[in-house]
Amino acid sequence: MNPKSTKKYSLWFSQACLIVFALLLLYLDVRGYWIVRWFLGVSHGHGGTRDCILFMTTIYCCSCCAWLAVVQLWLLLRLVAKGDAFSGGSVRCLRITSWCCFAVALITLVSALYYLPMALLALCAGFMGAIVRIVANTFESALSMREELNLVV
Amino acid sequence: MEIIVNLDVMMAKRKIGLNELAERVGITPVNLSILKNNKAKAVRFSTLMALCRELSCQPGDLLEFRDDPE
Repeated sequence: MNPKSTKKYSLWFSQACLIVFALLLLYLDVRGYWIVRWFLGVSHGHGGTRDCILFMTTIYCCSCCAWLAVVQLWLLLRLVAKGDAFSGGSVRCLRITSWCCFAVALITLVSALYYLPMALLALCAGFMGAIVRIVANTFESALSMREELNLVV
Repeated sequence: MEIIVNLDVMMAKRKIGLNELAERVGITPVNLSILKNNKAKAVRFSTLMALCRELSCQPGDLLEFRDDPE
């Protein structure tokens, strides 16, 4: 398989993964109430209306951040497809995505007050945010190298 | 301290325009303009060679080192 088609298929795969994730997120948003009710039904020590409201608040707050991240990642993939991976736009997309991850980390950390396992989600989201932030820094460095290279005649 | 590119001087001496020289050298007019206006960070030897060939000059005719104490 030649490198060009590998790159093309890789890009399509990334876009497909993002679409699948968006569909799952949409399903969660639509069916959120019933999923929470089912989860509270199988969990021990939880089940009241208060718990339901708290879980729903956490899920929908995180969902807003997730949708913003999905949009930014889609824009980033479009820039990569255009051949403009190392640009100010892509750095911006990655920065916003990292802030979304940090926001989710904060929301789930606060949610650990009523459901301790949320702290684990907070840790994962925070780590994800750190990884994306480092990738953004790398892209920024590559961008300045590209700009310098543009001035090589 | 800087390197001055005297491309405009040589172009005037040889009576050749920017677009024509860019086409002969094999670089874009934009890049040649960057070089002419001293905005370039680096010059490839291949570009320098092509410029010297088309302008019938030496690299020293195009590039000048200026050591400005101020």
